[in-house]
Amino acid sequence: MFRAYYKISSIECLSTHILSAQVQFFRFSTIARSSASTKLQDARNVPSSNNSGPSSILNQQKSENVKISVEKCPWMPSPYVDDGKVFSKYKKLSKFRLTSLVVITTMGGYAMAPAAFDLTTFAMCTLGTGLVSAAANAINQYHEVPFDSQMSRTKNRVLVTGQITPLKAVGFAVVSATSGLCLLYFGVNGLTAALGAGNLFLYTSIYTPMKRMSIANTWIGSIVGAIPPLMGWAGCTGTLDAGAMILAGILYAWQFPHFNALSWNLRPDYSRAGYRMMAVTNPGLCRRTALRYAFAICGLSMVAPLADVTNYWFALETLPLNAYFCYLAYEFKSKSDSGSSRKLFRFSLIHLPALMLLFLANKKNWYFKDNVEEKHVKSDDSYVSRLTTSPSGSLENVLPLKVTVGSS
Amino acid sequence: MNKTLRPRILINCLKHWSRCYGTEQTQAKATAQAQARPKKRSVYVGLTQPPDAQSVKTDYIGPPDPKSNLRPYVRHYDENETELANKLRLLRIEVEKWNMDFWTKHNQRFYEEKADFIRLHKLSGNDELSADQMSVFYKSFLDKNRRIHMMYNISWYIKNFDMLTLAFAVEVQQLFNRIRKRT
Repeated sequence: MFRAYYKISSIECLSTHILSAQVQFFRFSTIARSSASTKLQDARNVPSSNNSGPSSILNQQKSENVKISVEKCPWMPSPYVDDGKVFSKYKKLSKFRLTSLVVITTMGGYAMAPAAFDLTTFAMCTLGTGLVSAAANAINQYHEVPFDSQMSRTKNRVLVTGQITPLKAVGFAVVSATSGLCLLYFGVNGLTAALGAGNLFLYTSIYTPMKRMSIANTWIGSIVGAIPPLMGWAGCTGTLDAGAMILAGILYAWQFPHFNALSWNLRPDYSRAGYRMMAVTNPGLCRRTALRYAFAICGLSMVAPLADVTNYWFALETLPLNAYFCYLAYEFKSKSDSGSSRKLFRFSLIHLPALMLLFLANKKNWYFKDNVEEKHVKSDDSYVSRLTTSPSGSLENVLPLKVTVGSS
Repeated sequence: MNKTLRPRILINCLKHWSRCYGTEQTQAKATAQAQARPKKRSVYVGLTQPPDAQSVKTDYIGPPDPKSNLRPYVRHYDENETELANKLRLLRIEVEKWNMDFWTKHNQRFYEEKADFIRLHKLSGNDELSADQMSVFYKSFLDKNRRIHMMYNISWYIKNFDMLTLAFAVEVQQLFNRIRKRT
């Protein structure tokens, strides 16, 4: 009888089946509770009457408007997914909102790079980065199950509540990382893939253990946050130059006010769970760093036009945005209470996308004249050479060798 | 029995009074109301008490333990479980017990030392403890427990990895068994 139940429980997409399984579950659980010491043979007497039960509820469901509310008891089956929400569970595992912020910075890095915009490469770059970031977050959650259960912010994560098994979480991470890195290597270029792999290693194997060893983890974590725009930039141009470093530098500096403000209110939790954060061990340094790096963002935004990343209007437009950010950081430093830290954290979440948009709006060159010149030169040559300019762009990305036709 | 039956019959008669003397309009309204208002039915998933390991088919996870903040597991016992599955189950039970022991002791130490700190501070005259003053305690607690935390970290990573590899082996074994059963 239980085998039939097991088959029912394995079908996750049909809610009616789930309902009947849940009802049978409840009934069998009552049997289990009452006859804990006896064998399962006693349960065989009951299913004959039970068969009518679920089907009658099913019939009723079809005829009437029955509102089913699922009540969860304290003891839940361990790998448990409610009503086919498998995708949302994996979204929570991969910290979807954080991953999308990372993807936005990569898109910004790609769009800011001084090279032609190729839609397929752009799509592969963003998708690859998203997958790699999801894998990194899943591995992080797998490592930190007992620590997450100590802190109120993280105690409802899917691995802590047992909704996903650790094996499935790591399996998801491996598949996601492999596919992400393959997308980056074959769809974009080797430099982006190397940066992605390096970032994954840095986050899972250096930052995660270091969170419990020394406060230098914040600096390493900021590097982790600064690499995605570099990946986007490298995906577009294939090299990293001064402009890329400015974009990465702004993102590196942004991590400090963001994280210090976040960790300020969680000091008791961090201390009890054993995390070594600036907010706990050195609160003065925490506040000073937030202010210092807010000023660094201001400074870097002024320098951006000089490196030909943006035009000079950019420095003017970002001035109010960065000035307000610095003001909030100053308030955090002087008042250093929960209100000012929360305001700084919330504004940092708006500040970053706004800064990315301003970068895009003030990009120095939108059109690149190099391609046009090439076309003028090649039109004098044979018909074949002109044809090869367009398809070779995408072929080069797939084939490991450089596609050249004809002699120039 | 007879005493309760008579009032019940009477009440039932009164209940259906409207049906006997009512018009068709009220009847239609009543049924329409019953159809419009969706009937609420609650389905319960899970159990309220920790189950016995032999009587359940899957693992169960319970509410967080108040002292260690970890959630206890009940690992189900299958009569025809393989050697690997048996090893995995025993390893999981052992690691969960070790984890719960560590965190219970650790959290108790934390709360005791925090209470001591607050008491000492109040004795020296100041009534309210600001967050910055509490930070002194948090830093000293972290510094005192640094070595314990490092040891726990390394042990936890190794045990977690062991559980992962064993779980992978059990999954592969189950997959092979399923393929073998079909062919």
